[in-house]
Amino acid sequence: MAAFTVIDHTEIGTGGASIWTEDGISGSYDHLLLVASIRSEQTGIEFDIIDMRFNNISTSVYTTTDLAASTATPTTTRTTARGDFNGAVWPSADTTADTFGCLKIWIPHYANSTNFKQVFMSSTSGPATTTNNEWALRLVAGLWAQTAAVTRIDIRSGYAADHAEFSTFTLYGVTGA
Amino acid sequence: MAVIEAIATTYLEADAASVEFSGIVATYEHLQLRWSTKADRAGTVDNIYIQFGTGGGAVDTGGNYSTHAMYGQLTTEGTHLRSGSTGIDAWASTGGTADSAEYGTGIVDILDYVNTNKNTALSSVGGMSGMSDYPIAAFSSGLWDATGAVDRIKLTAANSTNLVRGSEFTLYGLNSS
Repeated sequence: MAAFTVIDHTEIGTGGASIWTEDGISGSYDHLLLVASIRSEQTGIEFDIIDMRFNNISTSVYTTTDLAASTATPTTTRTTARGDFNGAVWPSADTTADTFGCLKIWIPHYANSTNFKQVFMSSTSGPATTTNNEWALRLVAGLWAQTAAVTRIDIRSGYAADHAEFSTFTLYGVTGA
Repeated sequence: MAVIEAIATTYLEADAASVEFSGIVATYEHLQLRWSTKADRAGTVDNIYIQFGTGGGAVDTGGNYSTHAMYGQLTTEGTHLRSGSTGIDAWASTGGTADSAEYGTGIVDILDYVNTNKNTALSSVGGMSGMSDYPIAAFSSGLWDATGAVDRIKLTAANSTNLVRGSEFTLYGLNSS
């Protein structure tokens, strides 16, 4: 059996879209991997921040810790009791034209019904400038303090902006031997 | 059809100034590069310089590339920022004064490489550790400010004359259906 299976591939069409959702995710894989090439339509900023929720739950069960850089000095930040995963970034409307970010999210053992779920996100907003706070790198560990299997993933802009046209989301199911 | 397919592997039987993958087909959604490499500079670490080509021509050597990186090296954290450069920096390779058996490693994701509505963007993780001074772990983004479909990738050691014997580079294609 193949180790990787494509569960969903979506390219955002004309006019953008406020959300990418995959619902009814089968529990037949060991892990999930989301790969997204993504840009936001939010104006007034150079990069947007993720709002990701599992199973359409928005209570305070999300915690993140990140290693980040947007200036010469990397930083680390912890957030607790949020109603969504935050931390990961992607380019927004005011940065270099036609530039999309690279977002990867691993969700290991997403269907386990005993343990809380850990996620790991890597994300980039890398425009054609080195000016402070106009670029961003984020490595983010996240905890969803729920034991339910993950069956739905929603990804929105933290600024409630649309995902830009041509943004792509590919969700893979990953199996072991 | 497998989701991940190996497109090509180059193993250096002798020192070489560069490694080039050409004629890359447009049938995948994403590309991934993985390497284990050593260079010949008079130091323990080097970075790999990435350049892209499109339309069957040579790689672009103009100042159309940007790099944003955060790293930890020995006991110091920092960033490496470049724009308007002639290639993208990614980590890591060992250098000529590292132990002869030490090779650096890197994994580079190049998303939506054939989408002509997007500049080519990548994210990279890599590093080297071991017996040598100045071990490094890095996470970075790279931008080629051009929308042409990528069909050629050139890899060199940024501060060395050659990549040395025993270095290995593999290019993978990731499908989305």
